[in-house]
Parts: sequence; structure tokens; C-alpha cells
Amino acid sequence: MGKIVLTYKDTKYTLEYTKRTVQIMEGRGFEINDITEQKKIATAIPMLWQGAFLAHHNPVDKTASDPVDKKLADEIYAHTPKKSDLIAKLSNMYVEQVTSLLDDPDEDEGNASWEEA
Amino acid sequence: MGGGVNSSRSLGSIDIFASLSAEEAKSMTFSEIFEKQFPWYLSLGMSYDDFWNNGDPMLCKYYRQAEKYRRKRVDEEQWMMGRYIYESIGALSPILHVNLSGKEVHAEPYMNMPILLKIEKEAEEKERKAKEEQKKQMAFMEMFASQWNKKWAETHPAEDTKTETDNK
Repeated sequence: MGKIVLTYKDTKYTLEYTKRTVQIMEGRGFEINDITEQKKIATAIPMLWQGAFLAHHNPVDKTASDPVDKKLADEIYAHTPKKSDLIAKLSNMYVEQVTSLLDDPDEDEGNASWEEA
Repeated sequence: MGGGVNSSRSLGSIDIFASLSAEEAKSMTFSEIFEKQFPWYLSLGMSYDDFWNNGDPMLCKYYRQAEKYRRKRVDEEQWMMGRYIYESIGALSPILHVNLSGKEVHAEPYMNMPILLKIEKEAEEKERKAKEEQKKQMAFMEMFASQWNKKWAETHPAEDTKTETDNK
């Protein structure tokens, strides 16, 4: 996990979150719980999507290659297939910025185990 | 540094691993967690850019793992230092006592080689001796087998001939 490379109209876009872009998104009012708890999906999903472009295609950053503004982000989103899978993956990428800071329990026999069913 | 550090991970009042516990993180926004953790990662040698602008989430985990190794190495070095001091005091102990006997007392000589080198050499010597012993045993077994065969041939000449004939 970490990043997604997306091609639209022959241009490659890298979707990724960093701690800085997560901070910017939270500053704009984004909360990941709005997606995971399905509270304000209509506003949260576009914010999650637009935020994924900030690390590499921030329209404010003049050095960024192929900047993506809100309008272009929406246009790309409209032409992107398998949206639910993509949003789930983006949500995981976003959350991983925090979970990577949390301690794993030490390896010991008392830990719970889990697997995908 | 902040930290949900349980007792097994603390050394006196010093937090060894100041990263957050999931419980502690629950009540904080992501931004607050980042702000709180940033100085800790700086202290581990992580750069500003790597922390804030590198999207690879594994990087922080690797820094934490590296810190664990660093702590372990320092701990081992300090243990070794203590061992040297202990050995040195032991070597000096004869002259540290009040000498009432009137006999001349000398300090023991300091170790003739570093401890790790000594351990290494002892292990090599042990291995060499084991190989030597194995060689001796092999030589004995060969000698025994050769003597046994010779004795067998002397005592059972007819059986050998018979078997040969039977095979034909």
C-alpha cells in the first residue's frame, strides 16, 4: 500500500497521502470517520479524493507537475471505474498514515490472530 | 515525550518507546497525533521532510525498529563496560586489602585480551579439540574394523569360499 498511479488522458497522476496533506485535509474539515461510519459520505468522499492529489499535484504548489484543481479532480473521478474499491483503498491509505505511528504489540503468544474470511 | 508506555517498556522514568498506544490516539485528531509524535521522530534522526512529506507509512515503523536495535546495542555496550570494570577491580583486589601478613602483594594482571576476542578464541579452541577427538575416534574405529576383518578372515576361510561358490 502507499500510493496509486492513475492515468487519465495520457497523463499519469500519483495519488498518495502524507502527514502534511492529511493535516491540510483535516484543516478543511475532513474527518475519515465520516466515510468509515458513513455519516457525511456526499461531502467526505470528494474531499478524500481531492486530498489524494495534494501530495504530488497540489494546484497551489507551483513546482508540482500536472497540478489538479477541484474541477479536474471531479472530472477524473467521473471517469474512474470501480469507485467503491478505490475509495476503500484510499481510506486505508489515509488511515495508514496514523496507524503506522501506533505501536504493534510485542510478539507474544497472548496476541489475538486474525485472517480474511 | 508523550507516550502510552506500559511498564515493561519503561526504564525508570525514561520512556523508551514514545510512540502512541491505540487507546491514547482514540481521542485525538490525526493532526494532533502527528504534532505530538513529530519531535520523537526528530530525536530518532528522521528528517522534517521524511516525516511530513514522505507518503511511505512504513518509514516510521522502520525508524522505531532501528531505535529498538540502537537501544539494545547501547545496552550491550554498557553491560560490557561494566564487565570490564568488574574484572579490573577484581584484578586489583589483592592490593586493595589492608595487608597485615607482611608478605609482598601484587595486583593480578589486566586481562590479556578483550572479552569478546577471548570468547571467540575459546570457542575456536573447543571446536579444534572436538575435531581432534573425532579424528582419534575415527582412527580407532578403522583400526578396530580392520583387525576384526582380519580375524574374521582367519577364522572363517571356508565360509567365504562357500559363499563365492554358491553365488556362481
